[in-house]
Amino acid sequence: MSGVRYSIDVIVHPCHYGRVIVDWTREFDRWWSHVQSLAEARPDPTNARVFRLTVAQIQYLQDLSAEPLEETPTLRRVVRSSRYPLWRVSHPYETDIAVRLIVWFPPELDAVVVVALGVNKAKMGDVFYDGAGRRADAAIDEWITETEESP
Amino acid sequence: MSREITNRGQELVERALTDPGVAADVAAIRAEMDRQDRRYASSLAAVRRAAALTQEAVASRLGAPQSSVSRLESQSDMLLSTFAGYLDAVGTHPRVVVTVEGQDVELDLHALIAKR
Repeated sequence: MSGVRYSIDVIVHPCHYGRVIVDWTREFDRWWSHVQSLAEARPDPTNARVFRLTVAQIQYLQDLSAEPLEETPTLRRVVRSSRYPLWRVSHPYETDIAVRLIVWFPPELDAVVVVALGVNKAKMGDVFYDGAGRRADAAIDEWITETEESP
Repeated sequence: MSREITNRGQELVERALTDPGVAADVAAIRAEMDRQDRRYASSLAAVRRAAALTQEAVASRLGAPQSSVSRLESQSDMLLSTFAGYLDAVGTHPRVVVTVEGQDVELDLHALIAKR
């Protein structure tokens, strides 16, 4: 074997046991940091509940195996205009709380979902969706730029 | 172009669930979400999935090939007896409920199946 040089390339794929990998944008990260800090600093029932509902929604996304083919009450397509096909994650009805996550499944990536935005829209209602597409577009554009690996 | 993806969701969930109180509440929320999703059915295929059945399993119950179940699920119109037969293969008590002037009127599809 002397004089023979071997080169082995190892490709490691993310290990997710058939689950979707959940990454998120800077915009969602800012919102989530705010939710966490409120839940810790002022643990009133609403802040604590928003925190728990968001964790449950992220876990729900994890448990998917891919972008769904059909809508459910929890996961529906967002029909307002966006350059990306968006979905929204909701939860069973709660008084004064309506946490929504706006998410995007990158078509070129297998089993990955990007959380673009998060909101408790209880006080603003569906007017939230008027600007959600534009905000999600900007957040996803930023995520795409930031996650590009150098060739 | 490859991407550098971070599984931030996993980190978030794992960290949050170390608190037993949070873990219990999240489990309860998830159970309610799942119950809501299972209750919702916008198509025959959704009914079948709510019953956790494959097309092959339904085909076996109907004594038909899987391809016929696939075709049935994509049909936009069908005989009521075909519809009733499919539901009977998927569920246990298929019925149609119509609300008339605030009153729910129930049509038992078993009667239609029996006439096939």
